[in-house]
Amino acid sequence: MTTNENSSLLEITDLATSVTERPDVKILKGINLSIKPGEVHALMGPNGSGKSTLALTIAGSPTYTVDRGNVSYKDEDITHMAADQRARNGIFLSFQYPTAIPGVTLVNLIREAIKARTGEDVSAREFIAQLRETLGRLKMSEDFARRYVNDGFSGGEKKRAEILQLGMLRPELAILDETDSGLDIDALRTVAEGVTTLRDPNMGILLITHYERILNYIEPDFVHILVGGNIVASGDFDLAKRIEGEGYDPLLRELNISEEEALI
Amino acid sequence: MTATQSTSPAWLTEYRALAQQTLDEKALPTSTDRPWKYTDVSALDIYSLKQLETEDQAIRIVSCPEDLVVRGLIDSAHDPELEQKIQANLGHLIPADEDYLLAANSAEWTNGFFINPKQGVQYTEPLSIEIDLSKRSATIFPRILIVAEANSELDIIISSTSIEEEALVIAALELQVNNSARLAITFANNWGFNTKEFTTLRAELADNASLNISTICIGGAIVKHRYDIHLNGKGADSRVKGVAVGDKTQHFDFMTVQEHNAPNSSSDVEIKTALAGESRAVYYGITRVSEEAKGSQANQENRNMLLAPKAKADSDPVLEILTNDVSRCGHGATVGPVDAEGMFYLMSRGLNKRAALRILVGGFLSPIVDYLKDAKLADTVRATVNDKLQNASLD
Repeated sequence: MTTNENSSLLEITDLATSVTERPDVKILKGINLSIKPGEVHALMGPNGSGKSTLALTIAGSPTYTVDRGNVSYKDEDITHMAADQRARNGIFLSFQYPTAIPGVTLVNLIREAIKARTGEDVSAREFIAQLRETLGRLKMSEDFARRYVNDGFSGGEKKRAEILQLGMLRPELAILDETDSGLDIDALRTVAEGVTTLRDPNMGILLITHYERILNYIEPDFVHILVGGNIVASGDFDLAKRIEGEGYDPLLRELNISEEEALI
Repeated sequence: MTATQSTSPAWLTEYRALAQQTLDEKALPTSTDRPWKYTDVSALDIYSLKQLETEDQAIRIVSCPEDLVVRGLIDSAHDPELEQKIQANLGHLIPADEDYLLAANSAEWTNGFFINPKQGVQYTEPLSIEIDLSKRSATIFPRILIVAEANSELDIIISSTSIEEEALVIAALELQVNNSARLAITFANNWGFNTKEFTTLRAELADNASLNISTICIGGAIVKHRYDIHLNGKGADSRVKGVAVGDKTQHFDFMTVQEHNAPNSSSDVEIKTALAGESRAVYYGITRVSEEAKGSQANQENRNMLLAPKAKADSDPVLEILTNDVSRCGHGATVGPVDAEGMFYLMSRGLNKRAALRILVGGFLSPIVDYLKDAKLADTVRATVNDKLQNASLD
């Protein structure tokens, strides 16, 4: 499917979700968000505001149930599409807390993922060449790629492993869920530069973060503030800078949002 | 009785007569016998299928390292140079009158194998034995006696296949592992769907002797493997690694007994199963560290991954420590469904449910499959498991 330049890559309309196993726990309360190819959207918000829920819901996690609204991707309603099909259609989630898969190497996982995405097995030679090139661009060693997925990885290594997968899978929509958290400044720079180097000009990015500092490397076109399951403000980079400078409270007061409403 | 048996030495004839008597007097074990709690053999008729005239028809040596003694048991018992060794060891760990199935093996084996790694010889090539019932529906009673002389080193691979029609295998192995000898046995089992196998392996380990058992169970209707290891020499080391991948109504039963009777001995048991369909796995293990076994290490682990809602596993690892002086002893058991987080992680990379499951199971089993010395066998096992999971019932 080709995407019209003016049409959205991702279009979220009035999205409300709850926890599948606890339907009384409502998290997102009517999110609207539109991401066009090539755009970088930063999503910021205090802890527990629903940022990761939004990321996981777009990726199709069964942990959350959509109660209302819909998610459409490349003009197709994917609200109830299985996670694997979304991934094959080009959506990639870099997890905040990537899961360890003992006994399975990153190389093996990536190869299987490419096979699933393209529907055919890449030749070993071609794969290795592509892997080496991507590792090089990310300043990572081949030994790293031969380790078991996230098994015994440090926080920084886990995030780098996610970015390596991003680089190899070349998604059209990348959701980076707190890819910067837990990284020291050097690791942050490596990861952020990695995203920048690997980025296709048409790739849409939803970058979820607590801090403004990663945005100095991956400059956002739009910044959204998520509070209590609602996007309460949207703006440009200046909005992120303001939050970094003064925190969320002044903004919430300005918007007349009580502390209670700010909680999910 | 066959003609060969009538010419056996007197001690052997006596042993087999007692086994026959046991068969006549004893019944099959029932679920009240703890080792048979979850594996019902009460209706088993060991004479319902044809017996082979000699086990040679089903068991063959695929490859044998140069200079290794591998001979028929009866034949060896007639060799003046070997008779004493055979008499001292055959039936030593497996008495003729212990229980019905062992007695059945002791009474009915026709040829058997005697394997005798020479003192101080390290055999670089493995001894490869194939049990092949792919052409006939039959009952066989494989009997193997191994006496590993001091400082010898040998790998044995026993691979098994059979037809889809019924087959029954009642096997017994007695192992004497002498001072500083190293013995490794791999059971690579890919039975047809209607084969029942009951194997008992008993071993005695002398000072610094080591025994490695690796078992891969993929086929079969009921497969029960029991390993009783007596760590009688100081510094003796026993390792048991087992894998079963089940589907449909397959039933796998592992039982291990590790008897630490000497100082600084170590044992490690790790059994992992992945169960689809309505398949079932049973593990019962006892690791006993006696008062004499000071400074010993023992580990026992059983992990069961349930791939389908009707799959089932029972796990009962028992650790009995009778000395205050152990260096490290532990045991653990888990029975549970596939890790949901792992599944979502893999599916978020585009793998469908079955592909994600194959990857997770492959990773889960890899500590054991990767441990197989024979790299080619490890590759075959990975491919077979993969194929099996490709078609296994997950509902």
